[in-house]
Amino acid sequence: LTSHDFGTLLPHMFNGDAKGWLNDNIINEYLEILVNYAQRQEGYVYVRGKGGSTPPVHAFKSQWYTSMKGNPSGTARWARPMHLFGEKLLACNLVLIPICHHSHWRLIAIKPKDRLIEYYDSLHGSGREYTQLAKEWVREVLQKQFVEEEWSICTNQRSKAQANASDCGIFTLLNALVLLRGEEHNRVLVTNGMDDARLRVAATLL
Amino acid sequence: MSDNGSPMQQKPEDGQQEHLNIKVTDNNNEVFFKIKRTTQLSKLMNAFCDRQGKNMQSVRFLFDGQRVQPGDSPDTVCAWPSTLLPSAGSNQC
Repeated sequence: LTSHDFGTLLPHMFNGDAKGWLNDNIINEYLEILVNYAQRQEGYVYVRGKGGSTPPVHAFKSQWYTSMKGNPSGTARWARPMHLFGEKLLACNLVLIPICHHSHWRLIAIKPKDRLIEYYDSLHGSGREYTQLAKEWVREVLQKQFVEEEWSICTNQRSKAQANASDCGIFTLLNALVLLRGEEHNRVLVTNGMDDARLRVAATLL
Repeated sequence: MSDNGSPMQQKPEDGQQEHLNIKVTDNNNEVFFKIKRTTQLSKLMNAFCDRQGKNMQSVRFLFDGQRVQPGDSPDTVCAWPSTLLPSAGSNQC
């Protein structure tokens, strides 16, 4: 992470653009830290290659979306080194996918054990395009194990709404945080600018 | 909001023992490179950016969904020998 990246999180401190639109490095790095922590809590140790087991939680990089648009089967293969390919996916509790599209961050949560796909968007869009894409990914990953009728998409929007035009990235991260902790989404406190949350994310990253 | 550009990096199977054919693609353009297993990927990243007229700071290289750094080489990135994945298609190394 560079000071340019931190400038997107704390523009005043790091001489960034005043809009404070988080970039992909901040989003991906923070989610990786959260997921690694959650995995350690569950006693999970990642082993590369054969012999590795399925993680309880995983977050893909935000480039998932562009990759999925161009090459679905190739993107499904991202699951393989993570021990999430094929029926292994069904042993995982939670797969998080941050998506940045049309200059807006949102979060997909796949809960394989519940056969459920959820969408968290602080501008309260329907996200149909993204949940359908997530379902397509699940189909590509599960292959023969995919049973269409088992899977549902939650259309009930539980994310808190952002109070300005800048905080979607922070809401994406906080929604991931409460999901990983198993808390309710109304735990996210809304302020204009989300200054406390931004500092907290920065502290975690450092 | 996100810095733009995310070329996906994929590695077709290795034809010979020492050299790998590597495809770098951003889903629009494809550039092929032939490098050794120990060659640093910075060479290939710079060449790709040069050819596409992109700034290195604004692109991200991924292999199988994981970020790849300029100091990596095929040896450090790829944990999956092709012999283990006979049916995985043409994009495994």
